Amino acid sequence: MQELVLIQPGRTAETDLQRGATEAALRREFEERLAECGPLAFRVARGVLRNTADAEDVAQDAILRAYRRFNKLRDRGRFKAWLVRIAFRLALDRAKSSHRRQHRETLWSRPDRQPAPPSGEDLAAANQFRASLDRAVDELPEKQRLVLLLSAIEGHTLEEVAALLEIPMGTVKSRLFFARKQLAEKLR
Amino acid sequence: MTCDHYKQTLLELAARSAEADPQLRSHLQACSSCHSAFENERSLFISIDSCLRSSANAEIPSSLIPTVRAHFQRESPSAQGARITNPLLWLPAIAAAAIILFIFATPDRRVKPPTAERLATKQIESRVATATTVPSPSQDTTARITTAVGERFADKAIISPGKNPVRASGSDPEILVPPDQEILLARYADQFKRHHQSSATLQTEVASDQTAPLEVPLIQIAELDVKPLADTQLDGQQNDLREK
Repeated sequence: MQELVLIQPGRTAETDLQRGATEAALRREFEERLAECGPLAFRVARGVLRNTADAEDVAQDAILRAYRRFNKLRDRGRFKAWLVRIAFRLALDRAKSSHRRQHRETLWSRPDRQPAPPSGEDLAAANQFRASLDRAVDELPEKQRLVLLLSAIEGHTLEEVAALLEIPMGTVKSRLFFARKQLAEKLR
Repeated sequence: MTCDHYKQTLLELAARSAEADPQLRSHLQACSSCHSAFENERSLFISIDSCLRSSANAEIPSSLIPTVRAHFQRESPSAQGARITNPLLWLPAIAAAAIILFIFATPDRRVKPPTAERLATKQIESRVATATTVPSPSQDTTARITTAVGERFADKAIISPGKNPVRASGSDPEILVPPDQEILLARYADQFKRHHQSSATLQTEVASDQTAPLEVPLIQIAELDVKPLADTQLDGQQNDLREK
């Protein structure tokens, strides 16, 4: 036997109104946090990718993912750390795929058609140093890399990095120390 | 302490960006090689830090936040809900579902490989066949018009009222036609049915008349003129003599 459900239009409209109000409040809250956390997400992605356009794409993707799951986040105070981790992870994925693409292109390209290096010695030395540093940073373990990146972004102190990543201060110090030591060994 | 030990400590000190303790500081003042190594290491870390800072603190693109807000407008759940409840968006889906239902409701017209086994096992009766079923007067079986699709039967119709060349099972006669000749055959079957009904009624009338005993009037012969055969022979001889 079938059950007949009486749909009450008044109650449905009331539910829709409540839902709409909740959504509006949620979105307002997210946008307030976005003004503070959006640039950080971009800079984390930029630090990994070293390309502004790619970093913007990744940051937008990270923010949208966070927005879609924002209602599931119990502790809203952890939003910044959450968004940083999403952006970092997405940027690493993007970097890996672009490295694969570059590797393929390098295999197919002929070495005699590569562009000539810049003429200025200082510029060349600076570029070489930067390229070596980028390679060394890419080879760091992910945890050390994130700490190094966050400590370089916006002049974050070690306490702020520890709060952002929700890890003890000693862990931040040790990760940063080993990261810098490894970089120096490779650049020396 | 040797210089090697100091150098290792100095490198770690530079990596930590920490201040040297008094003992180390006095050694740095005394040993020029350790001092230069420490300065080199410090300059290296300064370069690393400046490079990392310049790379990490890039200018924020002005389009970042507006683009994200535009995405929010598109992806807001209320907008999605409005999209779902919009009947205009359901129309294509309903039309597609209707077309699929229509295709599956009609007889299968897909071209199959022309194997005799498949034709024998997967013949699909068309609706035309059921509409034009012709009752046989002699036996209580129905003639079925079956669509046989395939290259083998594409260009000709095999009409076999007495026997079935494809499927031997069953006593029902089958008419195998290609799909494009179904309508013609249906018309033919309709005409045949009408003709057969009229002939059947005539046959029943004749049959009822045949039940009565047949009465034939007797043959009556009034007179017979019988002549003997010999006289006729003599008359013939006399006539021959007269002519001579």
